[in-house]
Amino acid sequence: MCRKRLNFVPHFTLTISPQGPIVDAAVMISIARVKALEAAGKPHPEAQKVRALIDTGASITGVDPTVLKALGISQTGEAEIHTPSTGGTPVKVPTYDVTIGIYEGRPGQGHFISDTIQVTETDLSRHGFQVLIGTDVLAKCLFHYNGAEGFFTLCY
Amino acid sequence: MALEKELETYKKKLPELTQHEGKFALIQGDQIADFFSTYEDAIKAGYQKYKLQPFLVKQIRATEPVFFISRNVVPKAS
Repeated sequence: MCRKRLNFVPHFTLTISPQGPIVDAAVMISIARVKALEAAGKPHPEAQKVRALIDTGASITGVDPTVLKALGISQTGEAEIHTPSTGGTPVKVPTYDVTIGIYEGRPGQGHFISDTIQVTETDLSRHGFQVLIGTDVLAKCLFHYNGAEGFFTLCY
Repeated sequence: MALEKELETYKKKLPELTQHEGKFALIQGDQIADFFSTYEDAIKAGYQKYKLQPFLVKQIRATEPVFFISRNVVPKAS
C-alpha cells in the first residue's frame, strides 16, 4: 500500500546512517521576516545548510545555536521542554520562527519545505548534526523507517 | 531576558484569554494585538505590524503544554 502511495506523492528514499535517519537540510528565516528585512532595506541571511537527524522522539525541532546566530534572528516565543538533561522538571526555553527545508542530497532533486515553525535553541555540537527534526515537522509528512532493509523514506 | 514584559502580559491576562484557547496570541509590551488560528499567521502579522521590533507569539493554553526531546541534549533555558 505504501509503495502504491509513493507513486503519487513527492518522496525520497535514503540510506540509514550509523547515526540514524540523517538528511541534508537548510534552516531559513521565515518568509515574514524576509519581507520585514526587505522593507527595512536590510539584507537577509542566506539559508544555513545543515545535517539533520529525523527524531521521532522529539516533539519540537531543535536547532544548534551556531545556526540561529548565523541567521541573526530574535526570540519570538517561549516553550516548556523536558529532556533527560532537565531532570524531572521542564525548563522554559526561548523559541524562534524559522522554515526548514529537507533535501534529497543532490541539488535540483526532491525537497520538502516546512511551514513557519517554532524551534528551540539546542546545543547539538557534539552530536555531528546541527538540527533535530521533530514530529512537529513530520506532522506534514509520511515517514517510513525500514530498519531491516537499511533505508528510510520521507513522503510529503 | 528577552520578551520579559510580553510574557508577563500573557501570564497576567491568561484567565481572561481562555475563550481563545488554542489560538495564537500576538503580544507586544502590555498589549495583546490579535488572535490567530495558526502560528504562521500570527508570525506574519507580527512582522507586518511590528517590523523588526520584538514581539511574542504564544499559543493560549490553560495548562502549559510540555514539549519533549528524548535524546540527551541540552536546550538553552530562558
